[in-house]
Amino acid sequence: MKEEYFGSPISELTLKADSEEMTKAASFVEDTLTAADCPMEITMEFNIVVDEIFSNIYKYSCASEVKISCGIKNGNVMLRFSDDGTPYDPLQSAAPKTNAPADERVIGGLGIHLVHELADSVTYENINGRNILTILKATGRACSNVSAAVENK
Amino acid sequence: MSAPLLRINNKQAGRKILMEITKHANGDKITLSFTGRLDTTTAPQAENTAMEAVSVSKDITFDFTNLEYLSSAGLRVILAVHKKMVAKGGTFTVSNVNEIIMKVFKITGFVGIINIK
Repeated sequence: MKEEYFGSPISELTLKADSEEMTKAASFVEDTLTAADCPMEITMEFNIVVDEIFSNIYKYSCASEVKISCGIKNGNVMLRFSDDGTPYDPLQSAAPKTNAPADERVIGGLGIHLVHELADSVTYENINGRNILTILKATGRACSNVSAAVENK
Repeated sequence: MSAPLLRINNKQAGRKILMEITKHANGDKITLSFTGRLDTTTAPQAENTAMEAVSVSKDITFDFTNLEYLSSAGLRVILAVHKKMVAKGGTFTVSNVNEIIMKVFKITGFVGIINIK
């Protein structure tokens, strides 16, 4: 049974948790959203989200593979990362100091903070030993539900 | 137009250039113009290129007219350049940022530390 998002089919891609797969992950989500006529600025924001989350997974989780799911329904985008790495809830990490002077700044933690602020909601679950991070965002405009062309690629 | 200092192509299916940096020098002032995406894939090489400019100039501008977006990996490059330029008493400016890049700067508090025009 194909997984659905609000009754719509979703595109899925399973990749090795490896830096070499980074551009594949980015292209997959970008192509899925572009095919669904998602507004360009929202697609760019999701490009940032994919960059942050996928890189965190391959750098820190010790996962072997990551399944990325992306679906659009009635103008709402759902993006999900499911990996088989060390259980870790990124939402529990301390919020970065975004008002500290430059010499006290560190980049660690900014990525997940960005994802949190760019998305409408981010939820973490650990199901059957997998880390599952789900990002939702309304595009503010009607998009096509995810296209069959991308689905069958 | 000078040849790019750095060009990173997409290895996947030769789809397009991921990022390009061109350099324009005017006396001691160096402008690095970025095209594409400053992200996990491109940032490490971009940082090397930027640091070469930092080592020879006291006035550096990043022109983001053709930069689509940046992620926290790109912020790392900007922060590294900013710190180096402050340390040597130089000037560092980021110019022509689009809405998404400005949003990233606001969310992360970079608007408070970086000179943006």
